[in-house]
Amino acid sequence: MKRIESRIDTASEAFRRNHEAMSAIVAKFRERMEITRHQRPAHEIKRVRNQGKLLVRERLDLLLDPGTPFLELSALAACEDYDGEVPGANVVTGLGVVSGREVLIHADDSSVKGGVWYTLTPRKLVRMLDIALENRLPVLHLCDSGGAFLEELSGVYIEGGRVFRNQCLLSKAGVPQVAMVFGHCTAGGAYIPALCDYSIIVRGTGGVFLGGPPLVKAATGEEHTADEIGGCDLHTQVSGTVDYPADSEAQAIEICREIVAQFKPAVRSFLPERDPEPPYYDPDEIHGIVSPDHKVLFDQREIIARIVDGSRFHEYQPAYGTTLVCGYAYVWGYRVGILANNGVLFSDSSKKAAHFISLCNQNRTPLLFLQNTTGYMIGRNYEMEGITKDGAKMLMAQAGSAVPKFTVITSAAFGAGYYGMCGRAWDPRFIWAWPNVHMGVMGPEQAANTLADVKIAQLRRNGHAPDETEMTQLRRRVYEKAERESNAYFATSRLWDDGLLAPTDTRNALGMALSAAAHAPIADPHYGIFRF
Amino acid sequence: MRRRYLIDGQAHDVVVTRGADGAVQIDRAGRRISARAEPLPDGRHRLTIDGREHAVWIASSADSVFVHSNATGAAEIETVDPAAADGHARAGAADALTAPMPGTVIVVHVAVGDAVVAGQALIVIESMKLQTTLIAPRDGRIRAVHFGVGSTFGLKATLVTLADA
Amino acid sequence: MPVFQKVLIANRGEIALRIHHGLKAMGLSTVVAHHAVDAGSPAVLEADQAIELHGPTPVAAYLDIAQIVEACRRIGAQAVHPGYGFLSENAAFARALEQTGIVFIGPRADTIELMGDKVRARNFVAERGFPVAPGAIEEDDPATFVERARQVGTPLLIKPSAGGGGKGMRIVRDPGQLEAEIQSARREGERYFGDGRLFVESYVERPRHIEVQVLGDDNGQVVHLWERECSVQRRFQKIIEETPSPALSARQQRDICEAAAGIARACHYRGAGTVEFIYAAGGEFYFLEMNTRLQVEHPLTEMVTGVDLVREQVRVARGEPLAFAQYDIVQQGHAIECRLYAEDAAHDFRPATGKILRWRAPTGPGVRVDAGVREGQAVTTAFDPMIAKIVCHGATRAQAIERSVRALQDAVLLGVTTNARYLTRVLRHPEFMQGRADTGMLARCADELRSAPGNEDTDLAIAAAVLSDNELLRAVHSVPPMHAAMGAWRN
Repeated sequence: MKRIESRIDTASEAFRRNHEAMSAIVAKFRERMEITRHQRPAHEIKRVRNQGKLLVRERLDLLLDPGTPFLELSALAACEDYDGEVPGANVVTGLGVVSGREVLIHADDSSVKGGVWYTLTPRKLVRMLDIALENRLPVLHLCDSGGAFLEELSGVYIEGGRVFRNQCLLSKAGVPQVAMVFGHCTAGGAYIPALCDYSIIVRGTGGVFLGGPPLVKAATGEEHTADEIGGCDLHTQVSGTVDYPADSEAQAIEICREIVAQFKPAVRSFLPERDPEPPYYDPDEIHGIVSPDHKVLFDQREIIARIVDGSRFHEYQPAYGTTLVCGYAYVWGYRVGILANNGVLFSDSSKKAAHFISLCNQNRTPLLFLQNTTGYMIGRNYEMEGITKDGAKMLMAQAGSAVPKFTVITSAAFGAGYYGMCGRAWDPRFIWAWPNVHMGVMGPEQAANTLADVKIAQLRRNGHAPDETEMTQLRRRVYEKAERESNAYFATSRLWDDGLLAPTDTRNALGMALSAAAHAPIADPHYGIFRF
Repeated sequence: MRRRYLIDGQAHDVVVTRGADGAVQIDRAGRRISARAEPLPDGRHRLTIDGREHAVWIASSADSVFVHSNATGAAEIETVDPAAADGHARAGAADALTAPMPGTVIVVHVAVGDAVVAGQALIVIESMKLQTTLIAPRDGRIRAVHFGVGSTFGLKATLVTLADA
Repeated sequence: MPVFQKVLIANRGEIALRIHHGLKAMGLSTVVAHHAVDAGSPAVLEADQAIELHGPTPVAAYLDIAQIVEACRRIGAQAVHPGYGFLSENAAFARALEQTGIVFIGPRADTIELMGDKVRARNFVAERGFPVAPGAIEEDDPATFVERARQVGTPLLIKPSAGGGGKGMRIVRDPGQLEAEIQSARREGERYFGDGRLFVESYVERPRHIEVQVLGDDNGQVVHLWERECSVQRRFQKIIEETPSPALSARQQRDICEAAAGIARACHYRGAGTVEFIYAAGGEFYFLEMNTRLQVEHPLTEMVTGVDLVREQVRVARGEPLAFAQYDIVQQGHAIECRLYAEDAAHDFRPATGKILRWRAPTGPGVRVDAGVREGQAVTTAFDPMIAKIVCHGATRAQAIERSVRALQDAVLLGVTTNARYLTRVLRHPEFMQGRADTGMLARCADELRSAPGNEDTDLAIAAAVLSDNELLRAVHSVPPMHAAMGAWRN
């Protein structure tokens, strides 16, 4: 397999400018990650300490195998919602290694408002549990939440149910789950440990009950402490709701690690085929290749060269349908079939995609979509050529895929191209966006112009002819909203992806995702009807 | 994986991770070494640490490993479980009086049921011509005296147990 | 002339084994009397016969005269070798055996008695013109004891009359403290020896401990087998001994050895014995005490003279005359003995216990190891914590030190903490290397003798712990290689 020959001039002015701008975007992203993970008001930290509890990140450090990676999912969930006051939607989810086993983790973060659930909290949990179901990954729950936020009850009610439903399905699929009860698991939350194969509770701080002391008092008049209703001794000695008592959080985590060590080793549906090799080209150069302006196209082969093993790439149909680059490469030794946009999708590139996707399904090669798309070509000539039915072939092949799919959005994700290139709705095992990304049904400028035109027409119909300043202001307002709603943070806040990813982290995230995806068997490929 | 070892009373917190080709990486206090072991025909082991080879004798007891190399002599490495230590410190520290060194009981000043005050002499032990008087760590009542005069005991043996007064 | 064929060894550990070897070399048969805790020890396993002793504690069993006499009768032993410690200096034991017609391989009971009483011994020696340190004996006139002690002048040493081995001794430097110290010493003497009588001696600063091996027969023939220096002590416990003493000039050596032989001759000493002296920096020496038995450090003498002391003890006990005269006994080269103790030098030498998991005695030219332990054996606090004696001979003192260091490094003893590394540090300390060690050296140089494990020592120790922990290795290697290669990466 040949090494991609990079054509990037790292000494060029364009490279320098891009690099500076992208580095600033990535630095801002890392800063937001850092704040979300670690910045908490002193009084909240003091409260957690006074309860004799560890902070969620401290628990994770004890739980995860040292010297192993942790791929946090949707770390910036809720970052643009609830006035940005609910970091990560009060919960940490991620993919990590515990006792040598790849597991998914759900860890409540009680350092903000006692870790209460907002609507986005169960949405984030459901997404993590969907990943567990699709990839057959064990789940460890670190429970410490105040329950549903009273002002969000209705939102939590519907989404929350699916958390428990997914837990049941996981168990049905034979995927083990372990719960560590560090704080209270109240009402629906009580089902989390109850639905796990194994559960551990910390004496003194842990509690599991359908109704906490105030609710019990209101309902029946009985007065009990939380410990009396559902504490460690009650549940481990009397009710049998929880399996293991622990004297401390550290001990609970040790017990959990020992339980995980007893899990049967994973049976993998595919394995690395080569010894891994770092990319030949420095991944940091991605910053100089990608323009912060999503309208400026770049050669995605240059990106592939900075993600895959040895920067080696076998390009399929190099001369046909050239706005979509297809081919094989290895990531951490795993063979992948890559589809990367190098421009607008035309009929030829769509047919090339459909063909390459079926090839990869035939030879059991996971698919990696590197998305930078403004959509399928429009216009009478292209319709005559069958752009719509060719796009439909691509969708049909992609949706019918049995091999795991992974999506990384590198710059733009607009229109139906976002669908064809395996957007969120198309069940990629994992989907990430870089922090520079813009996405939406159309570009913010097109959206703003269209919407502004509609509004101006409306005003005119109502007999009000807006002057130039009024029109400019209107256009700017509409544009700013569209721009805000098309940026990466807006999308990741609403769980449209599994998190934002710094470009240089893409390779490791893909490696972990591939290894995780190999836990689920791969079905035989079969498709719906292709329109020829 | 994490381990805490005690060598000559000094604690070392260590992180062990998988290295290349069957080796392990050992990190402690900012120091990283790569190590591997293979058995030698004479019962010794060859430890290779950062490429340097050492032929050593290794033996293990319940919670200690002993290693002898001709260059450095013998060392005892005790493995401690920090999670368990946490639990014990809370649960039992004030109840059990344990032997600071192995030895023989010379005098027992108290009997089961006696009320004692913090600082009161409970038992005198002798070890290497050295007599040590063990005192009550807190007020309480004697629940049990585990060794009589003339009995010998090992390091950390529970000598006296206290109950609340 | 007493004839015996079967000898009961009333001891344990390395000395029981050493005596067994000595007796077997003479064609005698051996019986080791032992408490059940020693049932698996090499001496018991190697002896021709073994007989069990019972007692409330193991030590009590080895001290039970009636039981041992009965054991001899039952098993048909015609002689007893007491080794050192236990009943070796017990006159009642020697008498009880004699009365039963069993030979006690040691001096006569009255000699044991004389030398067992420190005050009588001191008077005996002084009366015959041998040097004793200026002092005062309480029982000469108890009423004036404190006053007489004061006149000796400080610094002085208070000793219990019935004492030995340093127990109950006190150094007084401040005359104002004299009375209080006498009171405490008396209480301690009563507790340890059931005898509160005391005497005081002028305390020699920077004293060195030099002793002389003597051997006498029934015909009044007495020779000395030169001296041994045992100044390297901690809490009056010898840990490194050597011969010849680097402190002595040839003339001093002759003076001290002849004094010892003279003392032995004066008491018609029979068998092997040791006369101990305090040697002062100025060259004076004073009689300290006489040990009427085989010493722990007797192999030193054997290494430099070629004499098998156990064999000579047996020959004398059989009534045979000494096989050599004084001029036959020549010191060749230098020998050093290191006592390997089960103790933790890093923690104030507290006794260490545990099971011996691995034991490989060092070997090599000039190396003799007297040990009585085997792998799997438990080391408890029931007995003295000495595990082995590593005795090295060299043509010169320097060579003996080198060989000792090497032998200590080669000695593999795992499962129980030992003082091996501490001993090598002492051997390499300039004060010892230059032959200037006195009995205060170890306390004075405690800081310099502390171990400072280097990073590489710690690396090796930790690597061994890690690599022998299968559970840990399994866990470490269960991490998929890719994840291990990524390390603690976070997105």
